[in-house]
Amino acid sequence: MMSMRMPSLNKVLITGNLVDDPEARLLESGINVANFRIASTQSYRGRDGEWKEKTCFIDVVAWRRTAELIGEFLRKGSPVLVEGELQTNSWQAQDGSQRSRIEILARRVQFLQKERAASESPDQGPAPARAVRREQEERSVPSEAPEDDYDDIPF
Amino acid sequence: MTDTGSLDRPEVNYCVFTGRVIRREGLRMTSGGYFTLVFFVENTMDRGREADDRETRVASNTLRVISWGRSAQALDDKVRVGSEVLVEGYLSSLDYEDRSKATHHRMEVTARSVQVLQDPDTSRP
Repeated sequence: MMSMRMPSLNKVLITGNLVDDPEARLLESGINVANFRIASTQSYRGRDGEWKEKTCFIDVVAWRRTAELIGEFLRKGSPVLVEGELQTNSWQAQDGSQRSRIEILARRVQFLQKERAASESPDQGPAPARAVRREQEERSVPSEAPEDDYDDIPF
Repeated sequence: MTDTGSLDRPEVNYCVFTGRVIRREGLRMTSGGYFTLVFFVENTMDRGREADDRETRVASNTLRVISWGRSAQALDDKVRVGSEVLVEGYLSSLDYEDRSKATHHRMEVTARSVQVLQDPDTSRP
């Protein structure tokens, strides 16, 4: 029997809407970082045969250019599709206890908000802070990890 | 980029990862009569080599996984501490209160499928 290496795999794909404006900031190192939480809703059929919805709240972190664009274009209510990987963020709480949480390290964030037509009132629907610039047709922006290369070396 | 008219909200929630089981709880039954099995998987990702090529950087994450129903019962026999697993599922979250009544938010993976790729007893080369 052929002996196999253990595959190293960590991928997540999720859609949702921002539950609040993203927190985007520039670190002292000059790297941009953005944190936001999305509400992701799934439909399922319950035991009674009726369709129901369940919503979960997922924390996302993005870096560099992706973080910059998130801070510029996303607001509370913005729909997004996030591609990335699961990571654990650990910290020490004020009471001294060790806390950790799972979050998504976003590799790519697609902005799903459709541009408003010129005839639409700016008060309708969730409003981004500013309109997407015409030269920025591409809304999915690949992200860069903070310290490592994106391409894993397989051997 | 495709631009359609009115589009239904897409529902996508999928994750897949591999790792080693580092802790597991016993099979339990909820008040609603469902079996659950909770275990923790340490996922390790290679991050390439340092510039001087001396060592490979590794990112390690501990992920909480919950399995329900018949899957939980089946996994109770198969998943052990040290098992290497491949988990497919979706993200879920819940808010809970600790003993001091502080509210915490927790994310976990609800497993749709768990493959045991290697038992802990199997000797590794």
